Amino acid sequence: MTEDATAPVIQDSPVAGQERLQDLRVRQTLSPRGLWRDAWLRLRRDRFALLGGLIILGLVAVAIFASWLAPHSPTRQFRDGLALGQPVPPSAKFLLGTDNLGRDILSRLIWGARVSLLVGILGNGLAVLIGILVGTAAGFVGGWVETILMRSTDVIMGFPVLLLAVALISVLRPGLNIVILVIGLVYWTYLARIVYGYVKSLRERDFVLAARSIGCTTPRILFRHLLPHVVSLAIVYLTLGTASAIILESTLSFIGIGIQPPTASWGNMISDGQRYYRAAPWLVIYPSLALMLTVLGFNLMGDGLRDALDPQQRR
Amino acid sequence: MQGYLVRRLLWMLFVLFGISVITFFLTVLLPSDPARVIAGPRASPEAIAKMRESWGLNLPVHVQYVRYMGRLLQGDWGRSFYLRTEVLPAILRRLPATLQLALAGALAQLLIGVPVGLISALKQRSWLDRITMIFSLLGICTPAFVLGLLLLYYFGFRLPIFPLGGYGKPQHLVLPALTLGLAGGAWYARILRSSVLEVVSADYVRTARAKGLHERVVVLRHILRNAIGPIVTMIGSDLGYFLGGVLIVERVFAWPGIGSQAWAAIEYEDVPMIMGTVIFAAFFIVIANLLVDIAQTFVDPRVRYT
Repeated sequence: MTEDATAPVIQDSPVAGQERLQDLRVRQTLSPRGLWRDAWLRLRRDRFALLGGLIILGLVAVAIFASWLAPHSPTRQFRDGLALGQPVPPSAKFLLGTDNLGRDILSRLIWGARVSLLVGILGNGLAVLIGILVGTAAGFVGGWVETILMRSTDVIMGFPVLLLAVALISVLRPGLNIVILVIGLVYWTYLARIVYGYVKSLRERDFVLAARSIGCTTPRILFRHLLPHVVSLAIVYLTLGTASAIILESTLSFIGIGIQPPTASWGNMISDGQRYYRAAPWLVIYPSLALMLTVLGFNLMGDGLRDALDPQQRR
Repeated sequence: MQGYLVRRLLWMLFVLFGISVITFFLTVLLPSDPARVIAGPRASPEAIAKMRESWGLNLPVHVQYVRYMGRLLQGDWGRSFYLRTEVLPAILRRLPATLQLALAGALAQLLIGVPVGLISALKQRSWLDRITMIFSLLGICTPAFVLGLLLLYYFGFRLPIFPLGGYGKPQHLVLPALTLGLAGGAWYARILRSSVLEVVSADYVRTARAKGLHERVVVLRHILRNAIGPIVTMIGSDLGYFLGGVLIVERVFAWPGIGSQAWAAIEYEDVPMIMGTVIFAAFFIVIANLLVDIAQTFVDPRVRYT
């Protein structure tokens, strides 16, 4: 990235006097609005991103108010929820039908939203945190720290993601917290590499030299001058990565080692439902749609954020 | 180039070493006692102790690792607790089926992704572009098992065109390969579209058109050849990834490959088999990445390694 990507970030952070002068000069030649305002204006025009944001907001609301929104308990087995031992098709009482144990699908979908969002957001958040820590440390410190961290990253990238997650879970036992932890542990490598390359290239740039020459301490350079550049990357990955994390959670639950029954997760609902798909296709179709809609929302928002936060990519 | 190759090979060995260390120590940390699993739930403590001794489970961890590594290099990957056979032959026996699916899946990805990406970039902002990009976005948002189950339901059950799973005839291959092809093809289309858009306005494309070359030649030789780089990387690493067993798709379609075997191993907590599959899969991924880097020098003469 070049000057116009970096300068506005500096404007937003309190800076030393000398830099303020330099900023003013940069400010005159470049966009007068600053990165965040610019990004917001671009995002507001992006209809797909807004749709994604709307989907995410809706899902978050459903997840928070699950206990009010769900018509029934997600784990209660209704006596009238089974007909001849088979799932009941959608009806007035069970809007989306019931599963093979007589549980209400709609209620399970609503509670499943809470699990998916929780695991996706926290698991991916952990991955982003590890990725930024590892990438920044390797890129900024250099030397043997760089060698050890980036070589380990390469080793972990040599694993197939899903099999690594499976191996970790088989060691740690399945469960909500473990799934979050495992998603964090397998997904950080990609961002670590990007952040590493970015910080390493930024470290050699003139504005870092300038900061050092006016006597900025190393932590100050790190936190005030380098990390703000990583923030926009982090925001994009917090969104896009959540989509992949939700897919991984549902896949692990589908395999049967993710979220354990009776807790509803869209993945384990699909897994349970696939055995009845001939007689009761809704057992597979509704959780699939919920899953796809969620992932779509995060992808749309993430794409929009990436376009909005990358001033290089003016359309 | 030779120096690069040597360094790349050494690096590959290091990564494989790191992978074997991680998988081995993971299995040592396993809370369930392998000896108890092998001996069965009703075994006496003496039988379990005997089992532990005969499998070398009573030795210190690092000794176990060195012994394990030595056996690994000799092709002795241990015995599967659940199948009660050697791990490596069991994996290799499943390789032909997985290879078939991997090649078919990779081919499907290319056949779907490349034309879609190319056409939507050349017709940028047309309705065709918008529709294909919406579909490829949906493809990205659909987990493989959802896609597989939906294809199975609609084209195996509602419209019984294809079998509901199994192996042997060409029609068994269609739905699993299509599942991989649609999911991966969606990525390929998006990536190729943006890399084509980067080159269509290049001077050499204009020159090629100006000197009266046939449009087909311009597109295939000037545009596609310059834009295909990222796809070469992706197809290589995807193929490497598939060869390690396509866990989900193989399971959904009852495809008798490495992936279904790994699934069974997960259900039975069959540690040697899980570990063997992980190392086998990682081996293909690492090899594939090496081959991709070499292939890039042929596809794109600008890439040079020293």
